[in-house]
Amino acid sequence: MPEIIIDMPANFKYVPGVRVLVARVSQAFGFNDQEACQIETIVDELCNNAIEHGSREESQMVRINCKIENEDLEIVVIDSGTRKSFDLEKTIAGKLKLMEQEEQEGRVGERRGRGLVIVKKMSDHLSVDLSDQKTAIRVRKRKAGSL
Amino acid sequence: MEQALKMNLKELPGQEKIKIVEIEGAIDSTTVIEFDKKMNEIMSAIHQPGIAMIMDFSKLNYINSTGLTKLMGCYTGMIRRSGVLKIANSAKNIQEILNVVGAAKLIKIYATMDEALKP
Amino acid sequence: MSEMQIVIPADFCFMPGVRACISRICAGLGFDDHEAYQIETVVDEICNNAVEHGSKTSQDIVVIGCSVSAGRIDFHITDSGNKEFRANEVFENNKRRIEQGWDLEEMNQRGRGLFIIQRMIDGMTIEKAGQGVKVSLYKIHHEEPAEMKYVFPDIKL
Repeated sequence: MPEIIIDMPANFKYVPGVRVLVARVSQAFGFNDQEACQIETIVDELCNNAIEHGSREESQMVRINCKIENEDLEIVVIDSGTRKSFDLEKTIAGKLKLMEQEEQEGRVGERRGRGLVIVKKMSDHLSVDLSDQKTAIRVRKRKAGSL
Repeated sequence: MEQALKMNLKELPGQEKIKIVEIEGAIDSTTVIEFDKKMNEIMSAIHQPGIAMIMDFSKLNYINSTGLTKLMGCYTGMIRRSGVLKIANSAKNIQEILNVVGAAKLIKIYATMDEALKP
Repeated sequence: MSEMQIVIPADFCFMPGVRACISRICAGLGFDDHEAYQIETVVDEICNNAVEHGSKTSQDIVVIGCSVSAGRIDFHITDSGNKEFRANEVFENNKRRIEQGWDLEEMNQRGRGLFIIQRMIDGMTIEKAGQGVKVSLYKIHHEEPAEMKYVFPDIKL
């Protein structure tokens, strides 16, 4: 199974390059245009999160690991943030609820934090692994038409 | 190859209530500050009610959550000025992300510039 | 200066992605369209060489290092080797071409890759790295094209 590994200094200037790299590679392995756009968004949001909340200094690195297995693309973004706990489901549920509330009231918050909601909606699986010095966010994206 | 972000304010002769902002490239974490600064400049020059700001997205190829946050800021800014924010010509992928974050329910989105220009 | 590193399997199908990646990074650095195109072409040529000559099995990889600083971009492209003899041949030919110039006959057949590269960047070095070859190059963002500098270390195989 083909694998690409990207080690990126924690600086936003590398992110546009990294996200198109993964999107184009996914196209080469049969993901359609819409899926490739979603993959570009997923990689972008996860990298930005990693820089904002994890590896805050440029000397720290963010690792992006992409594996293609049959119909699936697995993307793992690892930062060197030392979060004590991270309840992904709860965080996303909370954010979704806020967004829906705002929508109903016809107003918008200018708050940040829609990134993970977008990733959740565009992917088939989303999970987090916390270890000593690292936070790894794992996403799986399945090709359209596959079971 | 596209430039990171290019913005251009267009005014139509005899239509002082309409401001068109053409946006080219990407609104992402590397360009969002520039986007925000330019939009603030454009919006702070609006001193009368009833202005329709139309963002032309035909050359916008990417927007992320950071960019959407600022876009929502523009929406709020136009409401505060008793105006309206419209989006025209957005590509499929942009349309999808506007839907995902619920922006499409608030901001008026038009398939073509002609439709957006109608009062 | 910290460096971004991309590890890809030695397969051409990854090259469109690598090109798009480099093109975006250059755009963000203020290189103009033409300069960014030149960088993209050069990196593409070298990576293609690495894939074509530097790999034999599906386990082989190409490592692309990229670092950026004000107005300058550096690349280090390393293949995983298996071409000891060929490397020597390529080095000798390249060295001769640069020292003695290219004859048109030769240019029409082979090595156009290197001829293109030579005009598009500001500096390049080629060295052995384990079993493979490491090509380092840089380009500076400037108004006038600068003269090309080459460094060929002594290679003993």
